[in-house]
Amino acid sequence: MTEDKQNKQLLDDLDFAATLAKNGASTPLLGGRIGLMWGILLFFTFLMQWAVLSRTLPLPPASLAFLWIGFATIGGLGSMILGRNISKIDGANTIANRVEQRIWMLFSLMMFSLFVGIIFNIAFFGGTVALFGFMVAVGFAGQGLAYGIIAHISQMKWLQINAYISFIPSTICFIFYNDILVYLIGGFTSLITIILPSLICMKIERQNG
Amino acid sequence: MADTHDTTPSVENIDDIIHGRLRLGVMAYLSAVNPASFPELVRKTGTTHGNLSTHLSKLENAGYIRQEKGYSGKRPQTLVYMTDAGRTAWVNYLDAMKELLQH
Repeated sequence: MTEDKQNKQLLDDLDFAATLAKNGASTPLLGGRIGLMWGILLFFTFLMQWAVLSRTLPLPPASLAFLWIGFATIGGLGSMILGRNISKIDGANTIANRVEQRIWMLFSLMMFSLFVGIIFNIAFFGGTVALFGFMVAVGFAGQGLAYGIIAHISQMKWLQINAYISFIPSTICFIFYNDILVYLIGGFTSLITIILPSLICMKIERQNG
Repeated sequence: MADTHDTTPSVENIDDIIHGRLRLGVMAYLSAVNPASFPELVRKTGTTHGNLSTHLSKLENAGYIRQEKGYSGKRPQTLVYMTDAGRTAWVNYLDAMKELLQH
């Protein structure tokens, strides 16, 4: 083979490799559908919580335990099923997608650890159910942190803005943490800070085929 | 004392194990997506199962990749990981190619 042909072959091979690397690296974030599911669940659960506590719905407060058990069960199972489907998509293991998977798992653990602590506080140390309102505020702050890291890794500016926006409801929810209004605020804020960005992620994913 | 070390880039510095169209493609893809499943690599490189398997064995014998057989649900799945040694070799390969192409 002449030197020219060798060079052409080499450049073709390098071009092939570069195309594959770019193809992998440009895989969009794939967790939109999981975010959408949690966003919808949170929206309805928060609204139900507010409706029961404000007596808009004539249900006993004890029914809230079933509401949150249902929330955790549906969310957990849904995440498992959707996560399994996502893992089959090409490019599911890019750094950005791995960070996204990991950070939301840690976020769930953080919320669960708070929940357990609050239950023990209420049961043995005279805490009140208002502490659950505190969880809502912490949840939005944690969400802002998680979105911020994912946005930084995936270099998505609009998601970074969403991360900053998530800190606003955190402050507002802290102000109202011992008022049932916190759940109404939490519900409607979920529409903007969880459901909307999840839909955008899904749209980007569809556009990328 | 005169420096007798030859700094001219040479094709001998190019890692033969990586330097092959398909192996190069696999390493490039794994540098962005790690791990990747075996069918994913077949789809991305456009090669056959048998051909990919042969080339993956070469990379695995060199310690550049690791293949893990497991299950995705009830279906068997092979995941291909780029190892630390593979990442180092990949970076060195790119540096050597850059040197060579610059001269």
